Amino acid sequence: MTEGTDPRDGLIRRRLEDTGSVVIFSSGKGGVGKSTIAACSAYLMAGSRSVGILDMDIHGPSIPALFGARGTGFRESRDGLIPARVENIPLMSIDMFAGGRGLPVRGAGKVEALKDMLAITNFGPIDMLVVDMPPGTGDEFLTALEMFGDRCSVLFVTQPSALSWNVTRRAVEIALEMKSDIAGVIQNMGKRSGRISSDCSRMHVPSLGAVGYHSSVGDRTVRELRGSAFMRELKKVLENASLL
Amino acid sequence: MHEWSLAEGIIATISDECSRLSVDSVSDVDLSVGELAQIELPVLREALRSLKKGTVMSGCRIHISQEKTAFRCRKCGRNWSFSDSRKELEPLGDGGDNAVHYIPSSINAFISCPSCGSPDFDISSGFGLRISRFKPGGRRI
Repeated sequence: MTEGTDPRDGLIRRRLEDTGSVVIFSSGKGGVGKSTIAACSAYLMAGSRSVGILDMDIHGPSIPALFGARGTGFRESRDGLIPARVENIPLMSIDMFAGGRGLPVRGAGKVEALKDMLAITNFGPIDMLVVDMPPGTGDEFLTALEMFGDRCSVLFVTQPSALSWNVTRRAVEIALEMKSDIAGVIQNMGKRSGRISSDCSRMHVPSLGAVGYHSSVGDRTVRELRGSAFMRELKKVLENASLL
Repeated sequence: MHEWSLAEGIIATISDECSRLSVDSVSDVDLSVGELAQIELPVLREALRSLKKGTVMSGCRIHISQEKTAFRCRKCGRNWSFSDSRKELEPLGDGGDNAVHYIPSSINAFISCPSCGSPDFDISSGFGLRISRFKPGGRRI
């Protein structure tokens, strides 16, 4: 007899067979613009390939709001939940289940919720899955690295400040220790820091460039940011990373 | 509908395990279904019966047991059952039931401790669906 097997594991593996690659947008600190960068990157990448976006932030999901899609959901099918498409991008978030409520759940419960979302969501065949993480290297980050394995690379977002980078640098070091592929580091909301570039060089991690501070980004949706200076600068950074 | 995905997951997971163990069939599968996931057993059985054809599970017996869901409050220590809290989900219509059906741990967003009102509680039993065990049949030569 073989005991204690999780039926979601096989289903997640099957679902990922339809996914070309996974880019995880992560950070050390919160408030660095990671979700905005992730959402706008998905939008830009979708110009040349099929892209899906998965919001793995259990406590602070913001991808639906960034796509102006709060209240949208999914369609049930025998092959799983088919996510709503916004800007031609299928998106999935815990917010579609919690209905705007907070989810006061601890470590094990978070891992269960993330595995459920991965198992039930049928993005269909896509070239790339963009994953928006909460800040830090806790349950969500470790679960993502475990679930996506060799298929994923991690793109870290930091502010150029020492306060933000010192924490993000530790997250980069943890990802390196876990032998994860690192797509690079994006500096957001400021001028490019020489210290971050030299730290990246020392760690053999690509420093992809900086996106300046744009007060107009605010609460705008991805659609409203089309053609903005912010979007143009981000496009250059993603081109540096060969992600466009 | 979720039951069909779960059935697919059960078969995929057991097929992967059989490959790892170098066996080509399974004689018995025991499933444990937590009350919280509100899985419709006739639909799950039908999905398994349909999807297992031509797989390592094609000739196996499937045994399904149900586990009652219990909660324990982390603030006051109160233990209670899912059935005690069902009425809290009713005003939400299908929204609450659907959310918990697909993501059982989302229950913390919808109910709270009947004694102290805290939403900080653990699901102590009857969570989701698990393959309790399965018995491999023939070994690949």
